[in-house]
Order: sequence, then C-alpha cells, then structure tokens
Amino acid sequence: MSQRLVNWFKFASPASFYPLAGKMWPWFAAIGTVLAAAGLWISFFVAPTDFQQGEGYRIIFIHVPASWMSMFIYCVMAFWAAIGITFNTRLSGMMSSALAPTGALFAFLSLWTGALWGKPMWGAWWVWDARLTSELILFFLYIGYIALTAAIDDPRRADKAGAIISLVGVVNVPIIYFSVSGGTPCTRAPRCPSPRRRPWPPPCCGAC
Amino acid sequence: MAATMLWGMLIMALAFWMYSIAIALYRVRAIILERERHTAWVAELPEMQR
Repeated sequence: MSQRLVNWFKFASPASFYPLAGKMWPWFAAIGTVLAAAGLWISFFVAPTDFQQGEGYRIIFIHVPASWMSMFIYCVMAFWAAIGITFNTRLSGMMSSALAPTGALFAFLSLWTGALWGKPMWGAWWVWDARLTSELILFFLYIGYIALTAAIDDPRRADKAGAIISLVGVVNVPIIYFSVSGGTPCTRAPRCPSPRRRPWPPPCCGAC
Repeated sequence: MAATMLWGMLIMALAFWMYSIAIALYRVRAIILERERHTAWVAELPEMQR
C-alpha cells in the first residue's frame, strides 16, 4: 500500500510528470479524434429527427457535452487547487492553469450553442434566468482565473491566488446543475414572444 | 429519447473528455518547461538540445 502511495506522489514532481504527460497526450488526442468522428456521424446521420424541434435539436450534441465539460473542468481545477493548498505541490497550480483555457472554451461553446438553439426554439438569443446566468458567471470565473494568474509575476503566488478563485467559484457548479435539472422555466415564454416560436416547452411541462 | 440520440451525446461527451485531457497534458508540459527552464533536468532534455 505504501509502495503504491510513493509511486503516485512521484508524479507530483514536474520532472517526473513531464515525460509521462508526453507519452499520454497523443493517445488521448487520437482516441478523442476517433470518438468525435463517431459521435458526429451518429449525431448528424444516424439519430432521428426530433418530432417537436425538427433538425434544430442536433445542436444538443455539441451543447450538452460542452456544458458538462465546462462544469466538470471547473471541479477538477478546484480539486487541484485544494491539493495545491494542502500539499503545496508545484504541479497542482500548473494543472489548474493548463485546464482553465479549455474550461473557458467549453463554457463559451455552451453559451454560444445555447443561444443558437434558443433563438429558433424560444424566440430569444438570451434570457436572464438562473441556468444561463450561472453558466455566464462560470465563463467569467474562468476568464477571471486566467487574468488573475497572468497578472501576477511570481508563479507560486499566482497559483495560490488562482486556487482561491477556483475554490470559491466551485460553489457556482451545483447552482448551474440544479438550475438545469429543475425543469424548463415556463415563465420564459410570455417574455419573449415570437411568431416563429415552436411549441417548446410542451404544455405538459411539470414546472408550469 | 431515442437510443441513438443518447449514444451520440455520450460519445460526444467522451470525445470532449479525451480532448480536454490531451490538451491539458500538452499545455501542462509547456507550462512545466516555462517554469522550470532554469533547472538542470530541463537543460538535459533532448528537445532543449536542438
């Protein structure tokens, strides 16, 4: 057991992790490329047309995974921040810094594809409800993390400041999750009337 | 929801996971090189000899 722990802690050193990361990343990139090709093929050519939303629903194949990843990456950043503060490991801050731009990309992709879906389905690009606003706050947290760590010259101090943002901001993740799983807010429909609006959400929506 | 819709979404989620891990590892290597550039082990790396 102790031998296993020693082996894991060895990779907390940048000198040990650097060659390991070099061996691993091409495999993950290759598997990701194959899965993306398969996923896009299923999404656009195999999955049936939705009976309510038509072909427009296919944006969920990008939007939903991007939203999941934007939340998940922030949790991983908070995990590394906690490890960094607890054990004072140099690699933790580096991992958080490496993850932040990808998380910001996914948060932006989620907001963008959500707006593209919302216009034809709800009649509005944007509404200030809990799920959209909390996702926008998540995007700002990523941008704030990147800006703060870039603004501090000393990397160790930058990592500590970034770790505080990560740990405080992770409170936002369950807010996003529960605002999404709480049902489609029917109060949105009267606020954004549009002659092209399709019948969504359906009249039987539980939140009405 | 049709099974193919769910599978499409799950496979895309897995693809995004793999992409995130790959890009994070690639980026962390660059950060390590940047921060540890004054150390002896970085100077001995084959890619630094070129």
